[in-house]
Amino acid sequence: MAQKVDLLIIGNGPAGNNAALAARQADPDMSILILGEERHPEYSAPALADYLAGELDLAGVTVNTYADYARRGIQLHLGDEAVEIQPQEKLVTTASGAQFQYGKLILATGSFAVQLRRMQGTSLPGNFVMRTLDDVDAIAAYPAKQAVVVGSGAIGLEGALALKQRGYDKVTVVEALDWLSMKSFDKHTSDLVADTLRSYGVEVYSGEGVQSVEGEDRVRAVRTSKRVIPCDLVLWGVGMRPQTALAQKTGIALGALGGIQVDDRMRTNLPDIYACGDCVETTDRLSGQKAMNMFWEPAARGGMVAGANCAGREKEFNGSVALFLTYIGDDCPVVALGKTERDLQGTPYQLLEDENHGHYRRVLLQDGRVVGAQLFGTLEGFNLLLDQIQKQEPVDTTLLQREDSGKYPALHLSLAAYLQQLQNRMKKFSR
Amino acid sequence: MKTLFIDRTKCSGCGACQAVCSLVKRGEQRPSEARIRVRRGGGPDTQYVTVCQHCAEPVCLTACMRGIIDQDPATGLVTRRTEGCFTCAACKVMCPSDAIVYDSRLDAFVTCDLCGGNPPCVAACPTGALRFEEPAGASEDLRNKYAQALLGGKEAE
Amino acid sequence: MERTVRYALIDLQNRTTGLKEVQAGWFGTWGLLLEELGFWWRLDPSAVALTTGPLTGCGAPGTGAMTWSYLKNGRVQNLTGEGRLGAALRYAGVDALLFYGRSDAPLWLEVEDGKLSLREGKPSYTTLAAGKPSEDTVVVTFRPRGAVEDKYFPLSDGALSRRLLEKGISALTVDTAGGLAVADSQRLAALCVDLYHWAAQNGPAAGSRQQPARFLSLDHTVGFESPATYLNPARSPEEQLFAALGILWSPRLEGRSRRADTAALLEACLGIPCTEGDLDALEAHLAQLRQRNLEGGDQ
Repeated sequence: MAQKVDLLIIGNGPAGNNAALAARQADPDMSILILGEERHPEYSAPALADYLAGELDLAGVTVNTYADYARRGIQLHLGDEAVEIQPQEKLVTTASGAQFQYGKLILATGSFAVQLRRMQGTSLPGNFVMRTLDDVDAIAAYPAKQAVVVGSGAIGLEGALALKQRGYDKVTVVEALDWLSMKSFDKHTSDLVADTLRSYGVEVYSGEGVQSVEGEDRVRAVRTSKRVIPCDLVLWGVGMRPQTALAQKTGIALGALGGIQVDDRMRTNLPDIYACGDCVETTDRLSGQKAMNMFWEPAARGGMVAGANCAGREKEFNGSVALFLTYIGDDCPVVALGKTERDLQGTPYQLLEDENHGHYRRVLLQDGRVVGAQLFGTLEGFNLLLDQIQKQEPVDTTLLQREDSGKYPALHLSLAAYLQQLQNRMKKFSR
Repeated sequence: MKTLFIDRTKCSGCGACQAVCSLVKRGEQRPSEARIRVRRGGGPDTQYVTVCQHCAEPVCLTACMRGIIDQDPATGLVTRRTEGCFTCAACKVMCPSDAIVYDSRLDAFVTCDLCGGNPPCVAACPTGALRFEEPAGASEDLRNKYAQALLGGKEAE
Repeated sequence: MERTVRYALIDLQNRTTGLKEVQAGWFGTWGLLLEELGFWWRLDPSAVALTTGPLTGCGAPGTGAMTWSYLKNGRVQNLTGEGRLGAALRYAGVDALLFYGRSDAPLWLEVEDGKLSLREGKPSYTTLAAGKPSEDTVVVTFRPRGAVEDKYFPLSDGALSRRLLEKGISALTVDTAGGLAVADSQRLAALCVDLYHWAAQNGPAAGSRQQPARFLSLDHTVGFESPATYLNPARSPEEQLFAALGILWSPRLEGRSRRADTAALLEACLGIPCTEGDLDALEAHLAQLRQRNLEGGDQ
């Protein structure tokens, strides 16, 4: 017999959980059930590196406990994958054979980590990704002393340091592109990151791609375009893809980028079916184009919109941004948003940068508008830049000197002061 | 719900609000960790104050990678369960009011929680620039999306 | 009423800095007549000191108080100022600065993260402001006209400033990231709110956007039309008593007992009992020191 539920949510990550929360707040009475493939209550995937490093335990990465769910009257059905959706009958069936009859359905199926199956050696024991708690538990259980980390997104950088913290003798980061995190950082920022990693004893190679993984019964080494690196474990951090197999099979339309297509109310092409989180395509606020910005914040917010709308509200999702934020060790934050200098090659732009007291700041302007920013070693002032990059309004760095400066919004004055300080520093210390 | 508003024409940047907040919330005089802070833009007459505006749709709430930021559906008050903070700083970099500070005693990022409805910073403000009141119509719009580029919507000139 | 006072000895001759401690009586009132630090003048009669009181930086109105001191013709000159500098030093764990010796080449002092560094050069305010490690760093420059904090707030007259320039010190910066532990923060908070609120009820507000106030000050504001000149706010013996303790009482707190309030603030900050009788004793003690100082007696 199918269990009837007003709102069925497939996926127990931030999108699914925020959807449940928003729906519950909008409607105290509707029945809400989260169907999750993993058996754990919601945890913070961004915190997995800390969990791997041993800095946080399971309780420390858990976002919602069973008690939290109970208190909100949100039912859970975990450790069971949804395998079929029958949109006409509004029926969802799981791997174990459980069935749910939904009033509204939200797909929050998230993403999976890319694994290069066609590359030699990637199926050997010792190859890992770090997407789930179970992945981390598996890494922790695997006997290894030397690791190669492939990729330099947050997973690569944080994962490398976490393995070092676990006591690995040798950890090497291998990045195929010219420098680390090339999509988010210009070379100087990236060099600072690489230097910091090296100061922790992590080896860093960029501009060389992995060609194969060597070993007979288990991973023994990684062969790149330039060298062979002996290792027992390979941690792959080479990208995420949306989990859309179920959606596609159900006849839910996907976009050109491979994510589920939704309107700004998070509705799919099928009635009463919504989608949110890593599995959907969203509009990037900076480019105006569709993008796969697979980060926590747009997932959480998209979930809130979807959940509220399923409970009768009329919320809109106003786009996503690709904000890169991580810590290299405890003391060194790195954050980046918007265009890099590389992105602006071939067009006129202005670069403001400054290195001071261990902090590095880089701001890119075009037509007097802030279009990109990278900060290393500090986060101060970033929210001014983030605000401005999203608004794309021209900035007047001489605002403070104006007679009527008091009429301007306070944060504009802060931004003017910030940019003026960068300009002053550059004048004094131009290279 | 009443929130804190700063009338920038009256704010002298004296720092009384920040000093009192630090003593009450931080237990010592550590102005850099007060939840209301005087900002000195550097030019003449640019001093102002930043403090949580309890936005109607808080970015911090969705940005929080541990889900510890809550908003009371009835009042709009934004609070945190700081014991769960693992200092990812996502809230800090996204806050449009630049109102989030790191509290080294709690080892967490924190914001103003309006002190249970009786904020001592308001009582301390010697010029009357800092007020605790219901947002007026125009200010309501400001709080509607990410509410706060314009801290202190009342520019009485 | 004993306290441990931490002072930073800035040796401009050898270009070293070091933190030292001294046991001070009388709530650690080492300002004005430098009872505990005065021995440095025997070693260098041109030494200049910046001292704070036990209340400096605690948060009550008027606790931005700090005092510069130097010897002129055998007599101690005191200039009290109100601003962020003294408070910032206390947050950094430094209760007083003592500039000793002389450098041929100009130097400036950077206090950051509780560490002191002497750097070469005579950077302008703009250069220092551009290089501030954080937005809240206090920048003080010594010009022939006087010491100036954050470009607009005069901290001293030209005589003091020229002495420092002559010794080779051109500027100093202090970050404000530190803190000051107090014995009873809730009581201190309540006292502060009481005092600020009293002032707000008691007359027209001083300070506005166009007239920024000095740090924690109820009266002393700065306009930007013409350069402000320095005026010593602590001239009478009673004002000097309070300045030594680190507070400048505002006339806008008229109607209150300053001594009772001071005693209460000291108790809340230091956690030791303090009565008005203790303040009377301190005042008498300072009068004695002043007497000795005037007669050029043994320090």
